[in-house]
Amino acid sequence: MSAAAAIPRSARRRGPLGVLARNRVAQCGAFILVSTLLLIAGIVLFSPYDPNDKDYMAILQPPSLEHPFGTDSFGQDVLTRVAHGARISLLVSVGGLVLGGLAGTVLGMTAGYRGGWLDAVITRIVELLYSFPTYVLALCLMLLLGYGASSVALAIGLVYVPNFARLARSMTAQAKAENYVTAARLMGQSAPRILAREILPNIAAPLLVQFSAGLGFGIIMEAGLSFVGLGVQPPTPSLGVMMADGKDYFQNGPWVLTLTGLSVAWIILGLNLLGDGLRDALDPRLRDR
Amino acid sequence: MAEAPLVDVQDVSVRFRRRRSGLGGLFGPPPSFRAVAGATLTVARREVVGLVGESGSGKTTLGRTILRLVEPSEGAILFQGEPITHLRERALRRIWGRMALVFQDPLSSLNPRHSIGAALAAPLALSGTPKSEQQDRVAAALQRVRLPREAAERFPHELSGGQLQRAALARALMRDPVFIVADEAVSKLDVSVRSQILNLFKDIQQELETSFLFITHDLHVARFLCDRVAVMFFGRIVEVAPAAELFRTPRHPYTRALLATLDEAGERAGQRSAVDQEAPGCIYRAQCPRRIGRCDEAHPPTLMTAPGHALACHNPG
Repeated sequence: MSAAAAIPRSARRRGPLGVLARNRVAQCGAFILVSTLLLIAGIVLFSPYDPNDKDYMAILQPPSLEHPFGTDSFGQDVLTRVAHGARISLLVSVGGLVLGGLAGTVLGMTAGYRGGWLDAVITRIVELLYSFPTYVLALCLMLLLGYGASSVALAIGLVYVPNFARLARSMTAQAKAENYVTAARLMGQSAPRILAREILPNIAAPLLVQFSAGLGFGIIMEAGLSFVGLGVQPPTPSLGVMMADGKDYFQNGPWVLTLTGLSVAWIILGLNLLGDGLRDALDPRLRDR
Repeated sequence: MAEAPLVDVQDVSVRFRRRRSGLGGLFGPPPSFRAVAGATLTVARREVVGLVGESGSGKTTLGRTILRLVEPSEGAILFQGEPITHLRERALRRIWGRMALVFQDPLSSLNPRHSIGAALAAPLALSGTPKSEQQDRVAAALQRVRLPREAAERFPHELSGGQLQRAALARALMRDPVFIVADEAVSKLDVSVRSQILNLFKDIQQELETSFLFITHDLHVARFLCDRVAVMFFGRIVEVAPAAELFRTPRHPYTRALLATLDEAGERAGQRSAVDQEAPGCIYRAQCPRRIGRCDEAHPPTLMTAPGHALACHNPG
């Protein structure tokens, strides 16, 4: 009565990385993102210009071989500034989503697992946050926190807390009823350990999708706040700052606003394709459970 | 019985609240449903008690209540003489070290993200066992359920049903429990694998002298494995007797009806109709062939008709 002479190993890999291998849309987004990031890194490292080098002999030059995106009203190279700006915008967006993702996930998982009055309290607070129009909420925060890149990151984070919290809560409440959670309880594991070890690995994929889908919106938020002058402040190049600057002399140098805006659109296209692809690919599995 | 029972269930009821519905739901007490009604049962050291009944009879709920995954609304549960009826989770964790549950569906009871080895080692890591010793104990546990050593590296979806149930049993044994609830532990397995797993349960029970509450709807399983058998019908335990005696001379009409189906494929005894729980009278009277006048008045008290033979019937056969 040998139970198993050999147990076959299954070759399937699951999770976001495995999905990337199968989903065309996600591949497309990942390709855009990776190539753009490489390009940004290349420009930041090897560009002959400094983002704040002012060349008053070359003000508002249209795109040329020397300045592929032209120059702005200070004679600064727009492509170099776009690359530096994109770096800052991405950092702010990633930072904000990491903050919001962590806080939202912890809140949501706690509410979903504990239930009862704690769930009610957290859910009400989250719904209150959720009911604010995102930009109004972000603008209020900027006024409270003061301007600057870290404040923008905090604002993006806070705006994203409800999204992660709601997602984490519903999935945790669902996972809590699973037998493997009951088994872990009977094995003596404490609630924080069960949340981290048993439940989180099983709900991580949709949270990651939410994260990648949120990055694009984070960049738009950063650009929007900086555009109206409440975000990253002018000497620092950010995509929003540059667009705000470019609108002032759109008549004389339309390329500054246009090409910066198109760069934003391109990065967001990549992020959204990746996010959508991941979500589509993970959906059937979610329905299976 | 000289020795105090390991598990002592005294007159336990479990009520589940029903969802309020309609305008009537706004008034009056919240509607409830008694999944278990006044159950009394003991499990002695080294004893295997079977809990049989149709699906929906409350056997799983009773099993989970004994493990205190469900809190009883009435009655008391003693484990090794200690009342655990209303303990909170923090205190229960200490008790749970000596109890274990084997689920009907082993795949769902193992976390899909953890390898079998990681699942088995989890309770050891909690008690601070060093890594090298963990591996040895995992290997020993796998050997005890006759799984090959390399099963530790496999994930649940890579194992077959029989292998999974072995792995689940191995995990249940990790903390050397004195009492295991096995909830339909073999009913999802193929017939060919089922007998292997049943033999494994029997071997392990004899080797480790663990007490079992074996929940099953399959009377063959109960007869093969159990020292004593309790029969449940609609939340009530109607008869408890030593296995041999129960199968030889069943006294409750429902037990008889259940045994009559033994040789058939069917698992059901009689037609199931809606039973009004709150109405007075015996819970089984609607289907009972031996119904008498008293059956409509009150549910019969549970009486000892012979040593170790408890029966709740006004007109036993």
